[in-house]
Amino acid sequence: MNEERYKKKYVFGEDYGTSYYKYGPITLGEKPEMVENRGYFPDKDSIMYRITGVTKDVIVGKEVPLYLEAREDLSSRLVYPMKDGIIPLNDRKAWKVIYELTRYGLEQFRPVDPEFKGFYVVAALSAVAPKYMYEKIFDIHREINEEERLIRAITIISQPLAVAIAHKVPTCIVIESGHGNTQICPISRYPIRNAIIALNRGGGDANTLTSEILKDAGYGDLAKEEAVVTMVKENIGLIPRDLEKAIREAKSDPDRYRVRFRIKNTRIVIDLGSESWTRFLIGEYIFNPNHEIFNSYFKRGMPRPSDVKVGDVLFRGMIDLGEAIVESAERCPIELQPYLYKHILLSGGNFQWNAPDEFKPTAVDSVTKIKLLLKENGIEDVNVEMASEPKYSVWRGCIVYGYAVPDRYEWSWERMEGWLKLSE
Amino acid sequence: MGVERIERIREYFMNKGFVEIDEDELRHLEFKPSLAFTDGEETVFINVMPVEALKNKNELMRFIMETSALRNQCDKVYMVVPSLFATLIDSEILRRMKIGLIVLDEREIKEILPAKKSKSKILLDVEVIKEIREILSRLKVLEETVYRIESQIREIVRSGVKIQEVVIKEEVSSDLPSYMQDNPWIDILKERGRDEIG
Repeated sequence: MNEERYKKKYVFGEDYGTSYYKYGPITLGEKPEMVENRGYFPDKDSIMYRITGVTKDVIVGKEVPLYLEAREDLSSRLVYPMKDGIIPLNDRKAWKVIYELTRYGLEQFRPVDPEFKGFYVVAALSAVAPKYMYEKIFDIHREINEEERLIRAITIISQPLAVAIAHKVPTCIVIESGHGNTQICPISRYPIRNAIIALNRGGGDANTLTSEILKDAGYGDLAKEEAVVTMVKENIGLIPRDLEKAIREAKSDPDRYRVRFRIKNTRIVIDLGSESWTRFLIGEYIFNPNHEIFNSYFKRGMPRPSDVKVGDVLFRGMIDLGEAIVESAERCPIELQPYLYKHILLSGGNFQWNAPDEFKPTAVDSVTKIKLLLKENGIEDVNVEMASEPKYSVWRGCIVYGYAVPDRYEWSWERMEGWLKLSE
Repeated sequence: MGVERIERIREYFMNKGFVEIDEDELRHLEFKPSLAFTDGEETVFINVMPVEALKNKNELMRFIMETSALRNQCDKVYMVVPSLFATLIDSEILRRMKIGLIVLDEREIKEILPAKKSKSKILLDVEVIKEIREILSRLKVLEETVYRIESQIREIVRSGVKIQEVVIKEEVSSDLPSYMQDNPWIDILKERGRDEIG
């Protein structure tokens, strides 16, 4: 079987997302399999453990809920291995979960074809994943392959590159914004690594602000529950075209912007009343936390997004998103910059904001907000778009990458590219 | 060689469950037996003494020598002689030679000395012979093809035509998922490592 025909059957994508692990072979077509990126370490002394006859140290995949016990130490036994796409080097439990998840995914698609000589596996990690994570992922696959011949070769690519590939754009800036952080990654056929900018700001920070707003409105008890806060944020938060104008308008016409939100399947109703103008703060905070109005929250104890260093990467706290995009583009060759601005791809759950027609043009969507921020920074000729089906685009990019990159192109740590052969 | 005697020997072995080996399958052998049988595991050659051997010493000598030569071509060999002649044969010599002796008169056929399996022999494997023939005929075709290509190359070199590399772009077939079709990354990624691979 020639390489192309073989790869049409046996390329395997693995997207290690913070919340979900998305995986599966090329033959799945448009959508991968998805399981939560977590593992449960059962208590071996428990009666449940003995009754069910479980022999594994860690349980992953769709069966996890079947094994959960109502225990106080559940949080320590249910391990979510990644935080903002990163796993600490020595977190043995977290790496054990990744090992089991990887094996679970590959074994699920073990072919019976006698011509099968192992998958071409393409794994995707965060753009800011340190080198040791690459080494660990290689080690895990090598270990699995020693027990079960399932892998012919493996490579690792960054998630923004995979997004660009899935969207068929070779030159672009991919902005991935998740719960904990935001990464800006320019791409011109390759990820331009020294131009990547990471922000220590994501959906979680908007949650923190929403929680403060709820407290101020008299819902202090609800403000402690993360799931409720997320629900409130997603349902009432608005991105302002111009924050000061939006606040002025909302204050002058409070009935129009008043929000009354009932939490589904409960009797709880949240009514921000005259404070409904604060819903614009939630959206603005994602894009630019520098407005003086946020100082009142910082002064009252809300943590200010700070600069932190993870591995070799500095995660910036307070820089506004428009400025960060321009700074990232300006680290690239001058001739390339106009082409990068032609395609800015927004990916990740933190860009999924509603802009209801009734509040337009005061409220805008993420695409418009980015354009406005870039305009403030002197960049006008831009094209910004939301990634379609953001849940699957990284996996799709992995599949295209594995299909196209020639088998003979071997892995190099210098280029961070190519196939690491695990069996011939 | 009496046809009637041959028929009786054939019947004798067939009654013992042997299957006769077709004469065509023995064509490659230097010395051919009067009859050849197999039981599926072993091949047994039978050499029946011709009438001439009773009258002519040279014919007798040839019969004995040929019978002995058959040992290298099969598993077991039998010599068939008339009962009158059997009294002249020292069976010890035959035993040492591992040749069996069958005596035949007008009434009956008697196996006086059973044949023993020879150690060294040329394998009689019809399939192998067929395969060798097949390989030879293919080799002939290949030789002719190489000769033809060589002449065409000589012709091209003589005419001074320059050979150009023609790059045929591989199309991504439509049975691939939507995100792979018309994706410019496929051509970009296929070039990865081309510089160093050469």
